[in-house]
Parts: sequence; C-alpha cells; structure tokens
Amino acid sequence: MVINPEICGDAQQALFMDLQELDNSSLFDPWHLIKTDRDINDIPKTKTNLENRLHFQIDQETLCLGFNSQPKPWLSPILRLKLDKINKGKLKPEELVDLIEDLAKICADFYKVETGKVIAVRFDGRIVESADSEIDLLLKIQGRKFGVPIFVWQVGTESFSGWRI
Amino acid sequence: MTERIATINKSYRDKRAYIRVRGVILNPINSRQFPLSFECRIDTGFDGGLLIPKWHLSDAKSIDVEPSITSITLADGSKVPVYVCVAHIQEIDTYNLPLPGKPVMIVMCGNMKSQLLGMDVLKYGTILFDGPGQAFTMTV
Repeated sequence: MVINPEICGDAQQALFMDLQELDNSSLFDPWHLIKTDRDINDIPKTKTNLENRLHFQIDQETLCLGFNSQPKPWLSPILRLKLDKINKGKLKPEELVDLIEDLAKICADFYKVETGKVIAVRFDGRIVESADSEIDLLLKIQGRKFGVPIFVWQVGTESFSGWRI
Repeated sequence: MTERIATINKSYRDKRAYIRVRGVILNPINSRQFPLSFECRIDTGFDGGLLIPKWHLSDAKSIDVEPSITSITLADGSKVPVYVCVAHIQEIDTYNLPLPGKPVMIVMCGNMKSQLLGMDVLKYGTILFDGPGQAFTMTV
C-alpha cells in the first residue's frame, strides 16, 4: 500500500519557492565547497600547553589499554610442541637448552632488546623484566610470581654463565 | 683505595683450596630467609657466585623463591639447564660482611657433593695462592 501525502495549495507554493531559491543559490555547486573566504592564517592553531599534552597522553594510554594483552612474538608449531612437552615433563635437558636459546633469540628480535641486556622471559615468549647485569635482574625478580615459569638470558651471548662469546 | 679489613690464611685440603661461606637466600616480598653454609672449593674459572647441587632447589622454594631456569656452559663445553637465584653472602670464613651481605648469583646444578665458589664472590677480595706451600691467603 502506498501513501501519497496530500499537500494543500499554499504549502505546495511555498515548497516550490523554496526549491527555486535553492536552485538559484550556489549551494549545490561543487566548487562552492572549495571556495572559501577564510584565510589559512584564520585557522586556529593547537595550543601545546600542558593541558593539551596531558589529554594527548591520556588518549595514548586509552589506545594501549584497548589491547586485551600486550603483543607477544609468534611461536612456531615446533616450539609450541616443545612447550607442551615442558608441561608434561617430557622434555630432555638438551631440548630445554635449545628451546631457551630459540625463545631468547625470538624475544630479543621481537622486542628489539639491546645486546648485553639481561632479560627474564616467560615461556610463552613475553619479557617480564630486564636489567643491565645478572645480579640486578635476579634481585628484581626474586620472590615474584609470574604465573608461568620464566627463564633468564643475556642477549647476544650463548649461555648465562660459563664459557661464552 | 679500598681499605683491607681481614686476612684469612688457609691450607690446601686434598690439593685444593677450600673456604667456608655462610649466607642466606632472601625473599624480599615476604622477608623470609633460608640460611646457607657451605665448605666451598675455590674455582677461579667459574664466573658465578656459588655452584651448589640441584637438590637445594627445595630450600629456595620453602621460602617462596622460585629460581629461574637458564643454561650455562660447563668446563667441557657442554650446555646444561640450571636454576639460578640470588643469595646474600654474609660470612667468608671468619670475616663477617656488613648486613644484609653481598648479593651473589647461586647456580643450582647437578648432584655433586662439593660446592664451588666463583669469581662473583672472589671479586670482593684478593687471593694469593702459594702452590709450593699448599696454602692461600685471602684479603677482604
């Protein structure tokens, strides 16, 4: 069913006048959108006062909080298989050493950690703490709980202690 | 220049230099501590603080300290997974270090009976080995 609205004579005339006025004006002229009387200097500049900067920082924080969790490196299926083995307690010592080395290299590349820094990494590939020396790092993480096991590593070396390059 | 406070004179035992070390594993979160006392063999080739058997892992866990896993390279070049944490060394033989002691890295590895004292502890003093006399002097 179609409803045709009935418009009385006076209203119809008023509507016709309005449309004619609109037609005559340059409102529908696309160039009108470009033409402007305002000078570039009239555009108000953003004040970089403390208040504005604080607002900006808060916005940034909101953006960061938008993530459900911090980004972490992608781990290959082979590494994930080894991580599953750790949970089941079936990983050999040699495999564990390889896994630690591989994870440490992936994390250092992903987070762009400087060579020589000492890092504490969760076995899911996330860095939880970093320091300049082994003792500093161990003092920082002593007694803290991270939910999953962690390992410590010095970026750019072959092992944490002993003969290393 | 560092002022020397104490000099420790010791003789070799079984052709090796041994020294007694006392300290604690401290948990800064709950302020609990576990005492350690070892007759350690001096090993200048070990860059950690103390190398102790793996079964001491339960001592650290008893005060809610979870030692971290890492891998170290042994003298033969092989790499092994170990547990590491921090202990505060408070006494070297008869010399008492100011409390809470010097923080050193403890490595828990293997099942050997003897413990090793590495460069992380030895850096706090000067050691003079007298090979022909089968003795050594440590100045702290």
